[in-house]
Amino acid sequence: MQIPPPIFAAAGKERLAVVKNISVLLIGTPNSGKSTLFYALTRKKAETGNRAGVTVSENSARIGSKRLGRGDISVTLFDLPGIYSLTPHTKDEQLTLKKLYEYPADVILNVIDSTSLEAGLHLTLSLRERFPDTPLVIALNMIDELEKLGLYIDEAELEARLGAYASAISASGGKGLAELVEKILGADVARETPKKCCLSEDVAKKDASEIARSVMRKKTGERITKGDYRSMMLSGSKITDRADRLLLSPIFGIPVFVLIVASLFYISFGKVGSFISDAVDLAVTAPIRGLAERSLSGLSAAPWLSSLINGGIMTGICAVLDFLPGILLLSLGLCLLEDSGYLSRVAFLFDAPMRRVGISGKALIPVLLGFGCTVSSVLASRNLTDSRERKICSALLPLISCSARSPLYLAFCATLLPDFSWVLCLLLYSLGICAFLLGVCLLSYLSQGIGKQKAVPELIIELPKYRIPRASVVCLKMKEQTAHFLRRAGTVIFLSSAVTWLTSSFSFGFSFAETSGDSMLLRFSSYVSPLFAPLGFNDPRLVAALISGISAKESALSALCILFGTASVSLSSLISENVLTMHSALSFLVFFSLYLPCFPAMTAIYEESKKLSSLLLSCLSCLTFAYICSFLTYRFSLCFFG
Amino acid sequence: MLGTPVFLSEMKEGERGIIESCKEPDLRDLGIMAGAEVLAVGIRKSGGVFIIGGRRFGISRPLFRKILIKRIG
Repeated sequence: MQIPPPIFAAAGKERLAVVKNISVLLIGTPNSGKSTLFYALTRKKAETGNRAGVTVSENSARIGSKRLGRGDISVTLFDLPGIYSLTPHTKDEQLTLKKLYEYPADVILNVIDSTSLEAGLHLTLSLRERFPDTPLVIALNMIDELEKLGLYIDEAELEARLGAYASAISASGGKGLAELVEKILGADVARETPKKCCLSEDVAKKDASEIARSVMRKKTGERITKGDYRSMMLSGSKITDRADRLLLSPIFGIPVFVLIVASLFYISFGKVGSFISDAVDLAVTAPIRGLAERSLSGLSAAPWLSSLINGGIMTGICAVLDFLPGILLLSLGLCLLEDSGYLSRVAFLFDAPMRRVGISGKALIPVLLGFGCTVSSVLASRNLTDSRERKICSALLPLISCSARSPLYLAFCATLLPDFSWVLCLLLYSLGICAFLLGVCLLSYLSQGIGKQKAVPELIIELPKYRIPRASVVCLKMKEQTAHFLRRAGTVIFLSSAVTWLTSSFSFGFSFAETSGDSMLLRFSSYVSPLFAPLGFNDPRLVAALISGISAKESALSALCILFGTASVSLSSLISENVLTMHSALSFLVFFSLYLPCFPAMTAIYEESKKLSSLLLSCLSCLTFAYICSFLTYRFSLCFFG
Repeated sequence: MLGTPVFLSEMKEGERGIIESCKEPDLRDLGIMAGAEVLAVGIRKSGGVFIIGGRRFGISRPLFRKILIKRIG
């Protein structure tokens, strides 16, 4: 299902007159559909998902005067993280409130989830009280779901009671958007004479009791809703109730979670993933490689140029492209879990065990998002309420294996455990989680000192209704993921492949290296490689691949292919060349799964704290864990399987 | 017994109530405050699931003793 394009009015002739710009702040409770509305109105990419706290930073876009059909007006829309009240508790909420208080907005667009009116009205009343002179437009979102329950909202009654403008919409279905835009424009015109709120006297009372506020919310909800309002507010959805009985069950909850994750890995990295990868190799990468080779020989290109393009860039990019289906399948699984509403349940389910290691269950959401990309997981840690918890989490999140590491895992695991490579992949991802939890334990202990361990913040998390993930949203996310991966292949991996080829082909004197050992990269790697001897791998080419992986994790596999001069590197060939043994290969994989974060992740970690010490702590923790775990793996493997 | 204030921890699945008092400011900011109606959906050893104001919340056990409820029929 495609979201219809937002056509607000018939396009009018653009005048040359000065265009007035109306700034609109999107404010609402988490998971009320602000980003979906933002996307529906502006068509600008916005992260959406069925859980609280998907949006963690500000996003803005302009709706031009031509698109509005009003030659003299344009609208700038600001999408902001959700807030429950005007008191911030998390870093992302602070960002919204800073904008709300410091930015002179023309209109506040308050998005309310119609199916939970009272929760939404709590914030609306606070907004009315704190910003009485700023026009307030209420977007009653998810009106289609309310109508399915047989309920209707009297918008005129709500407008009269709150002195605001109200419009019932369905952001995902594109319903009521034109009317909403008209109300926003109308609200700005009437700015000089703001509507009077008939509740304003009650609201303005600073000492208004909580009970009075709750009753006010309830009465307003009852007055504006036609239908069995009370039953909607207090009865849960039957499907959600039944699903929660199983998924949040103390007995079945955790096994079901393990089963879901194992299935996800089986599909992504097992038979299905490898079948699609083989098909991509046959249909896309092999023909591209062949075409490049034929074109270069047809053009009689210089040998160094052929070597750079075929042996460097094409080998590097194609080695990673083959594994794109597996990465996309994993992203698809995570997207389905997020859009169905299950991810928040995982946080609640694991709160008690996580609390024992000094962190709340909420921290598991960034951990699971880290399976996709470390940068987005570091940003997601903004949702954590406690600053100590947030700092520790963002420093240790690079320990979680991101999808960019999976190409190298798969290239090696197929030999280590044929037919069950997905199990080994799952174990490597689990190792990341174990290292993360151990790191949290250690850092909590070190930061607080003996006997002074600070209490873990109590968990209060909103559990959204289960929804069937919308095909349009899932397709859009997959399209973005593919585009993101291809962009990386065309930029970071392209550059890193070229740099790997150049540094492995030229010596320090900038002359063509006669043997690969004389090249810059391998000479430098050979200085460092003795450090890795206790881990079982000290071939400079392996160390060079690890260094290359710091620019982007996929680049490690690209570098291996370039340095070994093959189109696709396999562990069996490395074993036959005496570069690795089964034991050292396992040790190499463990080191690769935990060592330094990539450059974009390092930037994200620094940006979150603005402290170099946090970044150093993160790098040091990852390196220490990688070295110790790799050493132990190698020794245990020699002892038990040697 | 109906009308007698109890802690949230004493509620049973399917029971309804009205919040009598809430001592935790963080919860009040979420709209979980005196006067709000509550439906206990699932009670676990480590926490519980409640519908408050149309929204479903998962709350960890220690917070239970900060919310006093008056049961209703």
